[in-house]
Amino acid sequence: MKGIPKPTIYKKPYDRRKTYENYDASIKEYDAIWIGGGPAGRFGSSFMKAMGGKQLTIDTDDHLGGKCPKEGAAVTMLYYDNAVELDFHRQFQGICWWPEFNEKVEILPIIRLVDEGLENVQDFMFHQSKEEIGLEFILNEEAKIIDPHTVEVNSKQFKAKNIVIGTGSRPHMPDMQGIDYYGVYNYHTFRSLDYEPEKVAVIGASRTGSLYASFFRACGCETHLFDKLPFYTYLDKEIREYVVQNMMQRGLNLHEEAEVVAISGSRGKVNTVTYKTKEGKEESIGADFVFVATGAVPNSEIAEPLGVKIGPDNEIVVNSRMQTSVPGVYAIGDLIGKPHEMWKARKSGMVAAQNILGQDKELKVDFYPQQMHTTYEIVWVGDTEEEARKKGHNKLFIVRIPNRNYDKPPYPPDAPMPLRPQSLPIAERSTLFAYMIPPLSGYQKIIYDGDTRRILGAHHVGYGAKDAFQYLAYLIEKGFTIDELVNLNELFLNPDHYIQLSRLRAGMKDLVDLG
Amino acid sequence: MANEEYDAIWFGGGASGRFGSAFHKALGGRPLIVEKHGLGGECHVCRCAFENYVADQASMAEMLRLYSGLAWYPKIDLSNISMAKVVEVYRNVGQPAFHDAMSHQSEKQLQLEVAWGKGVIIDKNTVEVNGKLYKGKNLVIGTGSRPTIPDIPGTDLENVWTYRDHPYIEKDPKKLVIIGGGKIGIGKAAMFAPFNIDVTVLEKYTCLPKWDWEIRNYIFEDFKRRGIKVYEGIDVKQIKGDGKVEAVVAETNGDVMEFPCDAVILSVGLTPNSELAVPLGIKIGKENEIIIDKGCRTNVPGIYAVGDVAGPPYFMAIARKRGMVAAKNMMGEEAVMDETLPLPDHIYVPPLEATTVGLTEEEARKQYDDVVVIRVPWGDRPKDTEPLKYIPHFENQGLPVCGRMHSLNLFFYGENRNGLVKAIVDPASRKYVGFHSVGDGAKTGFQYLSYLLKIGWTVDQMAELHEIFLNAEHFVQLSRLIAGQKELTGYGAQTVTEDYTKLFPKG
Repeated sequence: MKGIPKPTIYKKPYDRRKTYENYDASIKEYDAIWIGGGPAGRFGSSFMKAMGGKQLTIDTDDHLGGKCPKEGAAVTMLYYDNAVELDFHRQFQGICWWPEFNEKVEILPIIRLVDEGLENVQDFMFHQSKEEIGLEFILNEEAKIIDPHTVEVNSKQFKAKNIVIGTGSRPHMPDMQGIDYYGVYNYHTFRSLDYEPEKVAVIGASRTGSLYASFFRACGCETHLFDKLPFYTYLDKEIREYVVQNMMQRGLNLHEEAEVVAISGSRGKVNTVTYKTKEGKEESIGADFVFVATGAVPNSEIAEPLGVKIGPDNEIVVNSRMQTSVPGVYAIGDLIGKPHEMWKARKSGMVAAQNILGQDKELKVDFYPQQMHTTYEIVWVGDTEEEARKKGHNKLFIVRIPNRNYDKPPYPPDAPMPLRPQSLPIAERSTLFAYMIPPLSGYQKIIYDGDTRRILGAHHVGYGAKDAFQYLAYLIEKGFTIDELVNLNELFLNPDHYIQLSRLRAGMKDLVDLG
Repeated sequence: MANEEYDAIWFGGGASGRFGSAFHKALGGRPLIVEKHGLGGECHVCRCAFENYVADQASMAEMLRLYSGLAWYPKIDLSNISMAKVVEVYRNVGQPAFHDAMSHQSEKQLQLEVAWGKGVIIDKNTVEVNGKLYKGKNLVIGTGSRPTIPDIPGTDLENVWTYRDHPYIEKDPKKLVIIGGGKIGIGKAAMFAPFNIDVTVLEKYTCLPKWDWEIRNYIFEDFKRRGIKVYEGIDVKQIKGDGKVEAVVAETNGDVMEFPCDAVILSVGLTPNSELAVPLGIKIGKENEIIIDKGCRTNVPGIYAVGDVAGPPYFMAIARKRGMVAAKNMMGEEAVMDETLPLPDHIYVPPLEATTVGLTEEEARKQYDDVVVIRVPWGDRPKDTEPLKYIPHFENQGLPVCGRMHSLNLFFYGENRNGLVKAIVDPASRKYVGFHSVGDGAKTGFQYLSYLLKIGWTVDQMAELHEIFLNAEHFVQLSRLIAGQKELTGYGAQTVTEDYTKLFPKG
């Protein structure tokens, strides 16, 4: 038995206001210079380093990790987490030991919390990259691309066999009257908020928009969510209904197929949002705060001098090996367009590193698990029920909970909630709902092909299930069947009840839907 | 009625009996469940589902105490919160709701037949319920287990409880002593403490002995901070009191110690309810369990045993799967329990939850020449930090971030309250050998990680998965960062700081 290693404690500071350089000046030519140290660039560089390649990573920001620990996932998840906490306080107040809670809460202290916390996550990434992985990088400096093999930083030139560009994306701002008013924010500018909003309009029921709208509502703001399209058409219909119904139950004002046409205000400060309803009528609401969440635009401008092909959404066009139209120039992450997913950013970096160092690897983006947040976590992978039918699976076997017949007699529709056996699903964080307000405890569904017995899709509204979906996605893609799933060991009470719910039925030679 | 013959009589409608008979029915068989209380067994009465509920309440209370007055959180006076009130809601709402749900699912949806009442086994093909005789080709015994009562004086005093009494507590104790530091005892300690109850755990040997040293360390560091006292290597001799419990007397290294208290929870293990099988000539093992083969058959042809009554592991998935295996065998499909699938486990330690599957670091270091540990966080954390205070250049404070720990870690920089995750890899084969987590939201992934361990999952395969960021256990991305290494050496400076052998005071 080898001993447990002794600690080495890292305490080395770096000054965030200055250029930070950490590279071996004796290297004459790198395998790749990575422009942008976000998820794509940092993971790609790390993979290259691990493979034994020579890399230099350059970022204009004062940290590695990109947008994520600045205004992306790590930040929005804090807002989400607060939204859930607030939601619980409102829903449970007065029950058991829960205190009364109906006040409007201030948003600014939460943003300050993020401000402080971010440096902390960024520090971690710095340490991990430098000490644990041994990356070479320059921070707080602009990289200028001279040619496909030369990059200039602070008037010093670096040579590389390849250049990998991963400069990410920025919030899309629609061309609209009043978009530049004081009081109009997006995920990038939100941290500079300096007043407490009362009436909020969120433009775009994107994943970002839905999460932020739920957060504002949970904070007690009157909140309106607009989208020119119907909401969440990519979700399974039953899941969608559950999600939308719960958003409305929380008092969110949802405006589907309503296009915001103008933002107006007085003395440069927003006070009204005007939109066109589904029926084509123009209507207005008062709003002292507008949050724009209509998507993201790739930052491809840096690559223009190289003559790389740019697509219609401003993305750099790459093949499945992350190669651009210019030999030796790769592009990765949000910069290459949709899907703007964390895994895609990181894996695109990995694939670029592998191809540069002579391994033939392709990035596959056709099957992956997805998530969105309201005051719930919504996770899904594979087909929705509608997609499965459309694809010609004519015999579907669906296991869902709660059961659709729960509301039917012998439980009268006006029976007190606890008397209705709706307490399922139940799991961490939805447990309290299950017992105290059962209809709010979530919704789960797994869809099988009744003939092949394979899983076609899984859908989950609740909490704590997304870790499962990372692995479930792999198994589903490999053709996992109901018979294989029921042989697994569930960790009861598990947030995803698929294993046991399927096991109750899996004995059937002929999988017949029991309703 | 006696001439109507079932394929099997499932004696006991708990986790194993209910799942087994459902599977049996689905296979085309005709099962009959004999059950005296409710379907689903003790799970929603006083075990898993109940504990999940109490753990969730305790987590929320503990977090609220931490957050009180911070950011938007109101100043909350939690001095009067009560476990008795929490369990009262469960009794009034949870138990009946669950009872209904089980009954609806089993009888209406799955159309299982149930003979309600206390059954008497006449012979291996005949069971009597309420004076009615039922015939079955096979008999499946699934009568579960009960708390083991240690052989010490005073266990019959008032306020000496087991997990079965927890839902019926009417008044909160002030000082609680828990005898036994296994999964149940440690869980109960973490659940009672947030309700202003002084908790002491007394364990004869080692608490959570099968868990990775670092996970144990983490849990018990957290206990220390919260004032939950844990003693290992201490032998309880007596529970003292005049009618009602007053103190627990225990001995360690020849010294006698007395722990004053007004309630005791006994959690020294489970005893299978196998007594009813004895007259049938069924072999019983040392722990009072019915001895079964891999196909859940007892030594008497036509009699099967499933669930806790067949002995350890006392685990929900095993109970249910034993039922499934018995059903298959009765229907002529040769089936055995899959022993190649590593058994995951979890424990509620509110506000956290710990999960494990595969080898611990100690086990892995014994078994392999070298071991790569992928871990977050690593290194020392500053002691005695203040909430909401950022510590410059202390790089570990933010991770892991996951589930409900997300706010927690930002509120409590450096307090090491947001969890710990580790994966253990054999660098020669690049295969994982174990996964461990303490935090929140990772449990669900471990169900599938267990299967991946079985099929020989490597870091290279892990690096190819699509993580759902922010994920609770970070394994995909942490593995991807090092997966490029041709010779797997892991992270550059992974360090740990504490000697796990010195964690507890002995006595």
